[in-house]
Amino acid sequence: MEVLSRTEELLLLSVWKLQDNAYGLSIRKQFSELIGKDMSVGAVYIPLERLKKKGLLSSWESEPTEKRGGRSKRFYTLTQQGVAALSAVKALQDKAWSGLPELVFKASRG
Amino acid sequence: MSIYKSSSVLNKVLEKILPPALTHLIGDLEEELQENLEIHSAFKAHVLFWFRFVKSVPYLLYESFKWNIIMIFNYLKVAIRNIKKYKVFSAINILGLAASLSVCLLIILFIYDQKSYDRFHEDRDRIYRVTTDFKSQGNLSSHRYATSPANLSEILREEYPSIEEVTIIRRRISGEAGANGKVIRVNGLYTDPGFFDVFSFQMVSGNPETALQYPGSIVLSKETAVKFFGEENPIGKAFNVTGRGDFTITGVVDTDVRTHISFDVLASYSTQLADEEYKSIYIDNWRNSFYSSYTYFKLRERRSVTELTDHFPGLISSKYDATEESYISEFIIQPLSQISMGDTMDNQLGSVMPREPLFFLLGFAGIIIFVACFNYVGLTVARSLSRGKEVGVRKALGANKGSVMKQFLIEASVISICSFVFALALLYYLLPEFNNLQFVRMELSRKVSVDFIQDFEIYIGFIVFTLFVGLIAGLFPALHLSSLKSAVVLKGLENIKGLSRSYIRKALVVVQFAFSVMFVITAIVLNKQFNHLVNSDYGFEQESIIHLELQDVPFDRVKDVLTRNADIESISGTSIVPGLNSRRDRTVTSDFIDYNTRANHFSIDENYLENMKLELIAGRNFSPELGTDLHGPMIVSERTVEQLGFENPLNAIGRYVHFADSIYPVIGVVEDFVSSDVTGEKEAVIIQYQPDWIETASIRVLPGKTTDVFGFIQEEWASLGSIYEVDATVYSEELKGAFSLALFTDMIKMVRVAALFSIMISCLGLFGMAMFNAESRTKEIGIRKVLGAGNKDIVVLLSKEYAVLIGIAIALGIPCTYLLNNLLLQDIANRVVLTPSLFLAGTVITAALAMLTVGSQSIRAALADSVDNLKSE
Repeated sequence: MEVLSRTEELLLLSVWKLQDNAYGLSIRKQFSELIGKDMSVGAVYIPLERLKKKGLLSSWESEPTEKRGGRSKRFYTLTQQGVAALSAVKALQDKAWSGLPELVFKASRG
Repeated sequence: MSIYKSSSVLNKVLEKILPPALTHLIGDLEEELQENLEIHSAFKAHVLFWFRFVKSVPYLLYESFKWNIIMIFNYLKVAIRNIKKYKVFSAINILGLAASLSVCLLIILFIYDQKSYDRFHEDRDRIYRVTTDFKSQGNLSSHRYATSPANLSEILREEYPSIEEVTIIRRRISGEAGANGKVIRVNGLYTDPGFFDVFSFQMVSGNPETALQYPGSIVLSKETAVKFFGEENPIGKAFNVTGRGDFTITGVVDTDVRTHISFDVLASYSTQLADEEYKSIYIDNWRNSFYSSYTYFKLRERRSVTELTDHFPGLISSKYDATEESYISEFIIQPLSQISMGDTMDNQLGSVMPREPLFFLLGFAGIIIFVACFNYVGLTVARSLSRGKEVGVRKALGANKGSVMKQFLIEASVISICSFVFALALLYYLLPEFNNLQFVRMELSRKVSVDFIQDFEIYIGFIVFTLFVGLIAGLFPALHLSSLKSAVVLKGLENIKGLSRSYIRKALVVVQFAFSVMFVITAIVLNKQFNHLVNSDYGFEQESIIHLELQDVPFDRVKDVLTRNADIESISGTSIVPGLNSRRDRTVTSDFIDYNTRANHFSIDENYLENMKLELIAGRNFSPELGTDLHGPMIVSERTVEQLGFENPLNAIGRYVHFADSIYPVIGVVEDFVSSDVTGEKEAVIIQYQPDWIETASIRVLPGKTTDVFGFIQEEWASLGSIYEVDATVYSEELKGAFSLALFTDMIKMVRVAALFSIMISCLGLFGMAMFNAESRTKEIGIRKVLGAGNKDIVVLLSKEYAVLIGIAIALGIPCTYLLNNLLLQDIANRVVLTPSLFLAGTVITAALAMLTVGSQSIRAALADSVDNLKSE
């Protein structure tokens, strides 16, 4: 299985979280909020399109809306592969974190 | 999309410039702005919006670049598919454009070649020449000379601080030169050391500072140096020019450059200044010295020539009196780059291409390219019906007007690039023909003329021009087709009025054929005029005459040697040969008129009139036996009699001609004959008995013996002891090649090509149109035939419309042709009458070709099986 980058993983999560309302602007907002830093349009759309190309996302254009000055929205949704990829990441995460000692800083003895 | 509004101008702009695929991005920007407007102040919202936009610029650029590339490839793919699908239409357009492009490319090459002259000078942008405007003869007609008074260079050097360097060039040192035991004819110029400061000619050996400093110095071109001395170093050797004295060689200069200043040798100007008598007559006199002196200067950097021109009027009024009959009215400064293909001037230095032939060429090429573009426009618009559907579908799928336009423009560009390949191939055949044209051969001196230049930039120029033509041709169809509304087009094409713009197609056909008729008739008229000139009565017998240039052989000696041949009827001599633009214009007057007039002066021997069959209509011929005729009395032509105010030829005998500060009695009058230009008037002529001034032997041979005698002369020349090669010509051949006739032949050739191309392209277009028309009416024809129409009726039905169009074209073309031909022939004295039959011939040719084209398609449509026709859908 191909390993997702952190950005890709977080983007997929954002799309999943937004469900039916996952389009360019809302994804960018969700993503920025999640990592606590304002992301540029390119930083969001380029990985989104890459995920689409990998087959993890699909997209469609909506009807134009008044609020957007008559422009369409581009909606994204997770494909079956996308869902599988996310759950694989989750499983890997859990596996990697399980059975570790408690994560605290220990000063070296000397 | 106009029902929605954008809150920011920026979004509207983005909407226009970004590809349609990116609308959702603009939507995101807009939505964010709207949200911010609700929670922040308008100002802050807009600031945030701009901030967001600036951050998005890289991505927007990347996306639009990507989309444009994708779309261009898509347009290309569609264009190539369409070209393949409509093979006949594409072929018609490509061939037509190729023919016209080849002519245009030729002209581009020609201009490029001309502009390559004098580009090797380092400071070429700062080099200028002073030219002179001369008003003469009291009639105030002004005349531009490329020359300027000799002492102007001295004044420019001393009194004008904005000038960095000045040089004077004087014509001409020419004649046979002797050095190193060889005698070779050389042509050269006088100039001063400033020559090497102003221009960037490189010296191979010698010092440019001093080589032209002292009297008696001469600099040879590398070519000349090799001719005389081979590989030897010529510096310091003696060099003698007949009639100009002894020189010492002080340098060798590289002349392997493209320049309008051509020379074999450069002699020092101080040589001319050292001759006190010459100097006082020809140099210090501001009136005499301006015919053969050229002043070139280099301006200091960042200075303007107006500093000079402001001072010129004062300078002129101090040297010339404006109340005199003829005077210099203005010095005009001409940049070096504008000498080639510049204003027409007299006394040019070396070979300079005037602007006029270029205008002719440009005119022809312009018309031909338009005729070809019309084909493209006409045929594309005619196919609106089928192409309209395509546009409708594209628009329904989201293409906007701009992208549909782009698609059609790209299609036109692809067509033009295809024709470019054919045009290059055609150019390959046209080029040698062009280089053979008299004006090209003559003006481009001895250097290689126009050729496929290895330079890369010329090909870029070609392609840019080709694309430009493609865009011009594609512009109208693109505008027309892209404006179709998809809903309307898809509903049903047949109902839309004016979709195929039939009136535009008709107008295009009319204009094309009007030009074709014009060119065809003009070609016929010029051809007729040429034959008329060649066969017209020049007033002398040109058959069975051989001319032999005497060069350094005395006339008597030639006569002695040649009279031995029994095939030679008689031998006579003359200073100039009539009809070859030779002119020795002299000012003459008489007691009967109070003004000066001009006459062409001939020096002949006693046999010349008889030999040339020039008829004496009064008085007598020269007679050496009398002993008084030498350098004395004159024989004049009828025209001279008239101009000098003598009543009639008989009365003229014994009257006096005032000529060259002396008076000469008239002893005979000859019939008028063409004395200089075969296309011009029979001018006034004065003839004197001066056998010692003879330059050409005129040899009359028995009929049919021309070739034999010609061979005999070639053989005997060696025994005459000349240092030159034999120079003999058959007169009738010589006359056909006469300068003005040759230029005329050039024009005939150019008009012929224009006529050929224009009618070919027009007929191609008509062919396409008729074929299209017949195809789109297949069903109608089928029904008509089923209902009993005969083949003849169908042919008439399909051809009628075009017959009317051709008729209109002819009606428009003929008056234009009449005006054009009057203009072209206005300078020719011996003009053909523009008879209706000439016009009829051209009209019939054009109309026949056009109707043949249309007819072939109509007949094909008429003969097709009507049942098949009706089945077709």
